[in-house]
Amino acid sequence: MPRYMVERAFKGGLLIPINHQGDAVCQGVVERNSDLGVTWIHSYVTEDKTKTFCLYEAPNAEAIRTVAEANGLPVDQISKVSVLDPYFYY
Amino acid sequence: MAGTAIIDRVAKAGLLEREVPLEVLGRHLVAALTASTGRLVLIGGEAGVGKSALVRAFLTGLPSGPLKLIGACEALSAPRPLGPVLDFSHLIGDEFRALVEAGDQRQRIFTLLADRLRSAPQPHVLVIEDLHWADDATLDLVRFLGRRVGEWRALLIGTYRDDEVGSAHPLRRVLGDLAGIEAVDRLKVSPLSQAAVQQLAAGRAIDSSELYRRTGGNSFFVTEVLAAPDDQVPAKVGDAVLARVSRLSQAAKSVLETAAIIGLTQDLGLLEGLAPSATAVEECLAHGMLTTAGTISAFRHELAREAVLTAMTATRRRRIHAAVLAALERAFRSSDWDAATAGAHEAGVVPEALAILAHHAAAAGDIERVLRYAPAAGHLAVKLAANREARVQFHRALPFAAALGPVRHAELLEAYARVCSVTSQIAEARSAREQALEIRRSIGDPVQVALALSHYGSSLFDSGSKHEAERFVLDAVRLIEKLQESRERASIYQMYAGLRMLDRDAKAALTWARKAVATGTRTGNESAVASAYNTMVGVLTTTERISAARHYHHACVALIDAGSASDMRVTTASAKMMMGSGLGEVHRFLEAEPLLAEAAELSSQHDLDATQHYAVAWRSLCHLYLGRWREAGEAASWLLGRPNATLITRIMAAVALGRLRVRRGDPEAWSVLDLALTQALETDTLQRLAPVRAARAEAALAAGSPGQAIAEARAALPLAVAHRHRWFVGELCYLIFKAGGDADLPDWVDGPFAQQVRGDAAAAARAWQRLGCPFEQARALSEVGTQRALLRALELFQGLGAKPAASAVTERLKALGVRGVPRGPRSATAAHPAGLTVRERQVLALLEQGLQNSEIAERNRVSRRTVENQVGAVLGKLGARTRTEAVAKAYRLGLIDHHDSRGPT
Repeated sequence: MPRYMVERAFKGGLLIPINHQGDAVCQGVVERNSDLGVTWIHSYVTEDKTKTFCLYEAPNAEAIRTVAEANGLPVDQISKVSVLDPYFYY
Repeated sequence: MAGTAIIDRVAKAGLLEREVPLEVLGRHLVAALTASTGRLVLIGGEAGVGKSALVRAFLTGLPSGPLKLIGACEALSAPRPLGPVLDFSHLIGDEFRALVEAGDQRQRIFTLLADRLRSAPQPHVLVIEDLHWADDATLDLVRFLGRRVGEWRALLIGTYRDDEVGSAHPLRRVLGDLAGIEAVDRLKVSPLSQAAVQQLAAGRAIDSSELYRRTGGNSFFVTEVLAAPDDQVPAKVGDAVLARVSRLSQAAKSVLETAAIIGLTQDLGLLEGLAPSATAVEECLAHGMLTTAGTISAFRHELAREAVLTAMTATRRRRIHAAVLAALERAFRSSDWDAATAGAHEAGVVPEALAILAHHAAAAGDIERVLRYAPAAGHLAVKLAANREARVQFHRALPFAAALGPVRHAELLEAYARVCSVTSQIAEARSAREQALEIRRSIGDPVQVALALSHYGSSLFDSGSKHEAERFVLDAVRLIEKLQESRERASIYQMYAGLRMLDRDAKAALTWARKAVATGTRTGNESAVASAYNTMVGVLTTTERISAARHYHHACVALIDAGSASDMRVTTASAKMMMGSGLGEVHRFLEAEPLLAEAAELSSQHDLDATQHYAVAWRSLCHLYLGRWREAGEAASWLLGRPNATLITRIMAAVALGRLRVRRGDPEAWSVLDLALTQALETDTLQRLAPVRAARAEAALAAGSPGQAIAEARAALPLAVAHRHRWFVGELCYLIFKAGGDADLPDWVDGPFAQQVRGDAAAAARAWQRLGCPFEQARALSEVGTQRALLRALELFQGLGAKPAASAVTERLKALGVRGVPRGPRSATAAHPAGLTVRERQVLALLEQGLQNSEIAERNRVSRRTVENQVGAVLGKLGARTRTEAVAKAYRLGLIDHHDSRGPT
């Protein structure tokens, strides 16, 4: 399945508590994603937590946008990406 | 012999680890009985894993109330259409059974069954086993019922081998169509765990971990190994079965082989009649190789039957097929068959038997009987719209069809070609039409030659050979005009008119359609008249003579509704689609969209996939232009995932998706637009090439390649000019103009694109607003260029999520020195902060702390009832089912203060 980098902007900053509620937030997202075959692999978050770079596997960009809407998450930019391994040439 | 006792024990114990699926089924049944929220549960799992055992256990444990309807699909290359329904039809009633046996009124069978499930006072549990072998009509039935069961007091259960349903399997299409319907649930039956296998092997000298490793926890495999007296574990499940068979007498083995040829289940009388001795059948039953219920015997599992079949030589199989065929012929000879019904019962047997007889005749290599049964079985399957099965049956007979004489040979080829077209086997259809034409020429009946010419021409058009197609259909026209006026002349005129319309040759299409109407009216060919009206609608909409188009649309629908022609080709759904797609082509999306919605709904009710898909493709385009981008994207990507979507559906869906991705700045616009171009070039028609080239020019412009944009637009422009298509020419010239090329707009072109080229962007913006196209409106406003217009354009682009266009406008506003430009798309979260009141936010905060209603009541000094209402309102506004979910959603929406929470690390 293709991989996509999804950039999101959170004006007030993204805050997910590290407790059972934070877990519920993430699991809710994961569950709704699975309806459309979308897999959230992981995210990178800027220090001020206003921007995230989220790596996804999905059938297409439309599926990412549909689940984003269901999850109430903003989408700034979607790019299709592949892995570049700097040590591949060794 | 302890065989049966062991099997009993294992069968009971075999339901180890099935508590969860049994509970799910039970819950669905209770919901169906008490709340009339019926369910279709599709149970998947590998062969032998225990799907049927699960269903049997569930049915056994049922209270006596619900009526159980049970049917199974058969492992034949062309199974009886609606075979599983035949299994239980006697429980529904005599009228229903007669209908299914006659098997020629599919829609009536579907609706009668649906009526029964909906309105019978007694609830129903309907089971169809082994859907991976289902015929097309049964698959359509499952889809039909699955879409409706949500409001019935009924539980429908289907089982299938999920590891045999690849992406091109017909069942996959049905699973896809049913995905997302709330009333449809999927269950997976997993293999047994090692612990369960150990438990089953308890008390045996057998190595239970070896047993688990070899069988992979497959229930049937485990059962077979444990049923053998020695403690060896064979490598494959077939070996386990054959090890048991090897202990039978020669006579019993022969019975088992005959049983395997007959099928998973056998009529006991038939089997005994073919057995060398009565004791041989008894021996199979005593050893548990076959089981019985009433007058039916059966293998305990299809895997056992497969093992027996595989071990037989080809010669032996053929000999037994012949013996079974002879016995079945005697059994199935129609009792009420007489000369009067010879037409319907040409083969002299009851219709339900035709597919089975054809199957055995083909396997026995009995050419005479293949020719007797296979074409008749094919015609019956056509009546049930089991088109795939019909194709197999006709195909079976074709190699020997010369023996039927030229007329019946040609008819068989024509019937085969028709089902090939319906099932999108375009090349096969063309080749059959070509052979049919050759035979019709050798016979020499000129009317039939003319019809064969026109059909061959149409098949050429379907495979993309436009010019050759034209030549053959014109030959047909010339030939039929030399003959006395006939119904066939009207049909041929209509076919030619249709070709001209599809090529957007308005004048010729109208002329020939009018001739078809006149001839059809005089000769009583209402089907040709209705089709000709529909062709006229196609011409009149795309040339923007809308009120005339509406007139002929109503005339067409009135003829269909009158229902006097049995050979009516055009349906209400396809008429609405013609009107809707025609309006869409001239950018009247507001009017087109409701017609296309109706067309999609009607065709889905009648399971006309090709019509439904094309309507959805056009609807996706409407959504795109009308600014409903999520709907557009979902519909278009859904269509491109349908393996059976037709060429023209794929093209229009790819145009919608490509444009959407370009406008959103999403990846993979070019991959779909490249696909669209390849396919549009295949059709070589204006109505595909112009939209595809325009979409590609827009994509090139967005990518900053004006040279390519000009080249793309110019590639379709001459064709559009030659057809004097105002919208296509307008848009292509506009795109060339935007790319800085010399647009050279013809003076007969008007409309908003022309206004933009001629420099009146403000008027164009107003026109686009009237047409309901916000992206086009914003694009025109950005060309107006005043600060006010730019701010409005930005607002529209941001509302749509058109990021690249919005960024471009933002840059221009900044260059103008405008301050406080709204940044970035306003996310759904910002626009809809769930609309909670101050009090509800307070309650939410307390929910987050994990307080119960009584505690909240105490703290806020209000009654518990008030708190219950407030909590209910919070859940409702957040669309949450539970308190935890509400809190989780509130975090995402930023509705809860984060003073005590940490961010991710």
